[in-house]
Amino acid sequence: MKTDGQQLTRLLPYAAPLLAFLALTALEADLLWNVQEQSLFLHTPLFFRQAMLASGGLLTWAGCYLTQFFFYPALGAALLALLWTLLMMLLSKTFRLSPLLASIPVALLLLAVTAQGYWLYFLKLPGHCFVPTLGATLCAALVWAYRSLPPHHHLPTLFIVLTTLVGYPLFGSYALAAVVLMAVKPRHRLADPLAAVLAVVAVPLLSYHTLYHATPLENIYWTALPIFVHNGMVDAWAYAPYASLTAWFLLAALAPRHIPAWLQTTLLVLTLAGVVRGWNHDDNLHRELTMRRQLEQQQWQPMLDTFSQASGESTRAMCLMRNLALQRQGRLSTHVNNFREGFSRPQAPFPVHMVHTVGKALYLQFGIPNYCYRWCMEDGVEYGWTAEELKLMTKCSLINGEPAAAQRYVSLLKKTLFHRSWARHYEAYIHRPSLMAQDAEFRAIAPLLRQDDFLTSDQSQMEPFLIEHFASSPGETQQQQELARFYLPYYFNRFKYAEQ
Amino acid sequence: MKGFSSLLLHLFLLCTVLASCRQSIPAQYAQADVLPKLYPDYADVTVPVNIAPLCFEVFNQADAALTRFSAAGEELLCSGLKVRPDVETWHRLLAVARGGEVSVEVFLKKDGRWTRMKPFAISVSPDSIDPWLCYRLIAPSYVSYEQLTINQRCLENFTEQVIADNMLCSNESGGQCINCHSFQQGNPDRMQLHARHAHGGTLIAYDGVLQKLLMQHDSLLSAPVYPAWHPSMPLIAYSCNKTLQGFHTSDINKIEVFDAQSSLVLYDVQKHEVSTIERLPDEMATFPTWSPDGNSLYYCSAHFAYQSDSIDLEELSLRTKELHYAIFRRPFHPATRSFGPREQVVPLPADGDSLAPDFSSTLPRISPDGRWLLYTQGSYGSFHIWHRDADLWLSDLTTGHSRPLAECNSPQAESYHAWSSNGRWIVFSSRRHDGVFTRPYFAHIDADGNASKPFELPQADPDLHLQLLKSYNVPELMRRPVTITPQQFAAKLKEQGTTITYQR
Repeated sequence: MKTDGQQLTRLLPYAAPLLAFLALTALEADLLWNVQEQSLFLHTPLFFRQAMLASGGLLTWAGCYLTQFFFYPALGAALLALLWTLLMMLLSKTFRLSPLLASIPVALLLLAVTAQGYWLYFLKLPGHCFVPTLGATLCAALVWAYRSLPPHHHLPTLFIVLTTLVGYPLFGSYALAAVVLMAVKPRHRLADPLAAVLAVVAVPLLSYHTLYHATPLENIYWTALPIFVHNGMVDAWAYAPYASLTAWFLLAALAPRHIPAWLQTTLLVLTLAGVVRGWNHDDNLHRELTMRRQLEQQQWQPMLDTFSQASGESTRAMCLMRNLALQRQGRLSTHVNNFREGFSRPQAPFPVHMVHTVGKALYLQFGIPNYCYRWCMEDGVEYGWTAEELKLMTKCSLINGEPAAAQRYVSLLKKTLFHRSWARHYEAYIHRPSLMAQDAEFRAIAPLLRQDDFLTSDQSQMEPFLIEHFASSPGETQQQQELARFYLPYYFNRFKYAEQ
Repeated sequence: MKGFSSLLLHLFLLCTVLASCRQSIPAQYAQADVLPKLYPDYADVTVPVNIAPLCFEVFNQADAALTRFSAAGEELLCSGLKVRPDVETWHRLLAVARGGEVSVEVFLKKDGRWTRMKPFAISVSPDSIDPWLCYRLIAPSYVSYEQLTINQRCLENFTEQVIADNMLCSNESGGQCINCHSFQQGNPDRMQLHARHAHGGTLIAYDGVLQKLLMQHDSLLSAPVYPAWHPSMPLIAYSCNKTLQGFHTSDINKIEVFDAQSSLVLYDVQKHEVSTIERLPDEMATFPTWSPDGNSLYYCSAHFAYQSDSIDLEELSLRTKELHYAIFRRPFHPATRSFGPREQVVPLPADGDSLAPDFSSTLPRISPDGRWLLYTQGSYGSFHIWHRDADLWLSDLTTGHSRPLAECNSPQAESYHAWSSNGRWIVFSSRRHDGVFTRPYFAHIDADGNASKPFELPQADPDLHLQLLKSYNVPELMRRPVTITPQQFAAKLKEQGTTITYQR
């Protein structure tokens, strides 16, 4: 009979998901909201079929499904925390570990979310915030099922083969990992490891030659895992949570029944230190994310407040959003000097160009919908379609007088869970364009739209392009002339604003 | 996994079809005098006798719907707002309607009362169409490309297969663009496609031999781009293009793709030799195509003299609207593999002199009987898929008379096109639905050059084309499917490749 103290010691680690939930909602609400804006889940058979075109498709599909709940950051974080609780229970049961040790993967999965930084915009794994959690949970469940099977009729060996055959298409490398974990502590000493090695090597190869045509041969063993390579640059640190998680699972599978308490505590402390260290503390990124969310709500003064409260030197993305907020308040020329200028480079291990982050929305707000549309299309193709892009493309199409194109994007957004009311609102503009004149956002953009056309390119350098665009001719409206006057002094030094 | 998800989908569709096609026509209904709102719009179209079911979606407000297809005593009923006839039953219906019509009646139920919408007909031409269509599925992006595939689709049912997938040769350090699939007379055993960037080269399949060729050469303007297989000889005419892009700040067309220079070359598939056909100063020749007898090469050429001393890209971007392409032809002598002098075909010169057009004609394609020249015309430039004013035009080569193919045109861009092997059908790219995403359309062309109302490529789920954020690029008809797998193409691309020689 356990004492209350022992019970408490056993249950206390289950507070870890709760703490993670609190930390996420308190510190990363804007990150989570932006994560769902940079994701898309459509409730359609076609969306499912497209996800299933690659190994691990079910996992990424489910990851995308859950990501949409970050629309309400607390709701999405609660789902993550619930999954983490389930994972802890499964890990304790499967590997017969103390909940304290089972909380370590939760910390690592939390780190996978909070350390992502600018990968938010560039990672090509759909549903990447949920996929590792779902994958790890599934992995633990499969290993538990394997260990629970009766040993006769070679059932465990058959289960290994079946897990690889069915699991690889649906769950990708997580199914392979589960099979490896089964083989590490086999039920049948010879047959199971042999079956596991053969299955893990052969099934992805077989799938490559018969099922899939969208995964290169060198990636077939890593499906449903993120690839932290951008423009040829590898971000090795970004793999740390995943590598640690893999190591944890291997050690857990091999671990003896009784692990000394001091070792458990040491491991947990080291992990927590890693989480604190690895958590992305970039104040500028967080302010960019907050300002982007405020921009969506046309909250100009809160945007300026967010900018003003920055402790260090701001990024150009922040400065441009500040300029936009001031322009909307009619105070650009008079009040911009009240704010500090900043040239801080985004803290990412690769060059970050604004056109891939907040630039698309800014192009629209500054009255160049064609360039907003262009970068939405480019990024949708390159990094996967997002709710943000479909919303921006709807607005661009409405402004450009392309109702059929707007209808296409609106129709897609109507198949989402949380953007359908937005879609219905803008669908009304398709049927009655005159309503656009009453929309505050369109009313503010309209005077910035220029009639003259230039065939040119921004070369992914948004700010020098904007300076040239505004300063090269005064424009016709009062707002265009104000921007021209403002940007004229910047013209000869515009390349100073080029992003590296 | 495609197989698994396809199995699920087919089971689902089978259940839906079985459940949906067991209704009976309501005994009482009101008659409406308007057509139902359909996507795709299949009202009063003409279809080949071997086409897949014309599935469509009814967009009228209704609680229930019932559709009756009938011809010569045969009928087919489908319930629901998504109308998806079974493939076998559909083909039985078309067989009895061959040369006649299938009548389509849509009944809609609202507030407990049925209404019969104005019926329409689908004319069933006895002229069949080549059973396979090849196209590239690509998002209409401007610079970026990620997942793009060259696919083949059976037009008699809904089978779609990937021929080549660029992702098999791509990674985060280097992507690959596959493009310009082309076949000799619709023969899938004689085909070519290009791959650019990672593992770049040209793949040529010729009677069972697949080769990778490295076609860049110092004597060429660029690696060959737009291909045209000679109808019978192992020759491919190519244009070499130095292509640029610019982005409009306000124009609704948004993007401009144009050549700074271009020329024509001839490639011998068996000898791996390339020679120049035409490279003239101040002339940009592109988009070659052969006459069906192989005795003439048609192509487009624009006269453009740079005011600067050299090729000035800024000047070109300012003067893009001065790029007006005319269609020319040069006789080809198979014995010597030489070409005669060029002769302007469109616009037809009035007095033998070259006529500088104030519009631009591109993508010439000659009908198999040699009489009709189908081409795309826009106000300027060569990349007409980005020009909303681009339309299909048809020229009678026996009289020289050209006319817009109004039956097929729309306010949006019509561009790439191809003839069926019997010359009775054309397939063409159109952005008519929303101005953004290209879909393939088919139209019947009779002996006098009259076109029927075009119809969109039918899909098992009519919603597909509304959701798919990709364009169908370069639709080409084929007699049979390609049997080389995407993995075989990828493996070949990863090889070194054979270099070509230049024949002066």
